[in-house]
Amino acid sequence: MTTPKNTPRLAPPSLKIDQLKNEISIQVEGSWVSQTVARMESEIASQLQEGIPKRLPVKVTIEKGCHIDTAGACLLAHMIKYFKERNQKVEINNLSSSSLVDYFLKFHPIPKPFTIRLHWTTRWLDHIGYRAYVFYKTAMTLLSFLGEILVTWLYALKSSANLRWISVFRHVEEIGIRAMPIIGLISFLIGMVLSYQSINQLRRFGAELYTIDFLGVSILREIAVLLTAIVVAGRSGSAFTAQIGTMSLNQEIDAIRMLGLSPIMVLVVPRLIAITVCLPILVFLSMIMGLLGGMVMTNLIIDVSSTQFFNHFHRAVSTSTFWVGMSKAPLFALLIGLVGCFRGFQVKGSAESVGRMTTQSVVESIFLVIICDAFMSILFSYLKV
Amino acid sequence: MNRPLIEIKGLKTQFGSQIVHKDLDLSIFEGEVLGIVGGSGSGKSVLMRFMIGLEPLQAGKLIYHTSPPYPSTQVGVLFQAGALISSLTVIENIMVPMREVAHMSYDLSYEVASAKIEKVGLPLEAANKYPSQLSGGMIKRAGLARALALDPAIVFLDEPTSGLDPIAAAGFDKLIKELQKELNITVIMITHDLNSLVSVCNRVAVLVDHRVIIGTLDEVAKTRHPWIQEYFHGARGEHLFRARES
Repeated sequence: MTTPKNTPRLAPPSLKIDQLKNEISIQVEGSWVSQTVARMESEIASQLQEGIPKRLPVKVTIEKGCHIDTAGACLLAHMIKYFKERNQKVEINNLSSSSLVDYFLKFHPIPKPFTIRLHWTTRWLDHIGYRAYVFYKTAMTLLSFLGEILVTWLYALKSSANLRWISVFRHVEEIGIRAMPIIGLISFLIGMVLSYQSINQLRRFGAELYTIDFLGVSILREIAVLLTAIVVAGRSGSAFTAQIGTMSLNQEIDAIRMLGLSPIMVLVVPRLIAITVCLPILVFLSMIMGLLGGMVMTNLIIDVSSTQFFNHFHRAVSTSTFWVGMSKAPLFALLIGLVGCFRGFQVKGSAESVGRMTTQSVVESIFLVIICDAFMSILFSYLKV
Repeated sequence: MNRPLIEIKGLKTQFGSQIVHKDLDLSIFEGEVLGIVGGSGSGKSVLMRFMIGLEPLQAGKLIYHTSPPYPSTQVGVLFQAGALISSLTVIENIMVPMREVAHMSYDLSYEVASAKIEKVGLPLEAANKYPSQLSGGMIKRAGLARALALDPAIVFLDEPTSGLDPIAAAGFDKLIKELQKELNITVIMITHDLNSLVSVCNRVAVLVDHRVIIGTLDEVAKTRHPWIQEYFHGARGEHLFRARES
């Protein structure tokens, strides 16, 4: 490609410093433009460091044909200011050719935001206080959100025509049916791993067969429901937040409100119903697949046939074990759905906020699920179930 | 006349069965302010995306008579919604091209960015705010400051005054005009705003029937084409011409 004449290639910027008898002459040449100026920055710094006598006046000449843009002017002004700060006389020739340099000589950059450095204890206390305040605020808002949902839900229960069935079924597909392969696979593998580990330990006592007891109780009571809840929180809780958050950024929530509809009714209730229906089903699937994994492993390692496994399993666990695990599922579902939707509504301002809220929603819902599980364990042991 | 800065020859664009551009020729000269107008769906935005290199041409030629042939650092773009990076403050947004492309030091880029903020008429407090905290007019100004960060020779503006109130829009028009004169840049603006066309643009390109009709405002306004007549001499357009004549 030929280079047309009216746009010459950029000549590299250069600075000629000559030390004369009674003055220092600095000649500015070439293109001082944004693309080339970065190289000059370090060069100027090094040339100034080499030592320019303090006494002599400085004469800066901007050569004809020297192209200077904003960044170049800023850099030149820096250099001139440096001499002025050392109380050297500076004479600038041909300044009129670049009024920008003159502009920067009088320019003060915007002050950087003012931050006060506090003692670390003060900062620490400040931080704790702030977090406590935010926690309190969030808890209150969550409570009022819960109240709003309950009221809307009651209204929905009054007549099924108020419910958006299409939306409910769409979410059931999204949360439940689409999650089945992943939850089935994970549970199967975890069942295998657990039984393998427990066989290894129990073998020392010659009690390998009790692996089945361990497997039955642990999977039915805890593992299936926890595992499913965590996967659903990561899969669907995050989706709730991101969907509702993006809608809120697009003012869709405001539009829904102005159309005379309740966003809770349209967006939250179908999701909550869908997740409460789906999670127990997924937990059931997880239990079956986990036990199946265990069965395969015991079959492979200690040669227990499936009939034997089933008979032993039947004696080892009671129906109450199953119900203990199952009863947690709807509760966890509500927690995940509630936190997911709540954080979605809290999205404000920018795309960054969607990301932050989604992360928070997943972390918080998993945290709440585990806390809740711990409390339920205490409760069940108190009730001697 | 001197050589055009950007040249488009025989541009052809088609989405599915819908023809957008057909044998479109367009020349843009150095130092002019060209306004591109056209109805919704006439392919203004696509034309701009071609020119700034975000999308490859389907058929035809796009020639930049600059050196190097496509100088990405010499093209600044103000997107319609500002498109500021939301996780950075205004001044950080303006510093991005200076730091990442021109590799300037932090202090130098900070000072140059401050100058840009002053130049586009943003209040100094806005510098350390995030885009979500700004009003529509301020976002446009911040976007313009970022487009001008590396002192480009060519600036594209996509509907610079849309969504602004008339006072802010007039202020923005004035700003563009002043900056164009001061920095001697070539400005290509897509606009719906007749006021901007009248007050800022040297030439107007109208996208009708898959092509461009280009000329000064008066020349174009005289063209006998139903859409152009409706556009310039409809209820909204006519009074601007009358105001200019008187």
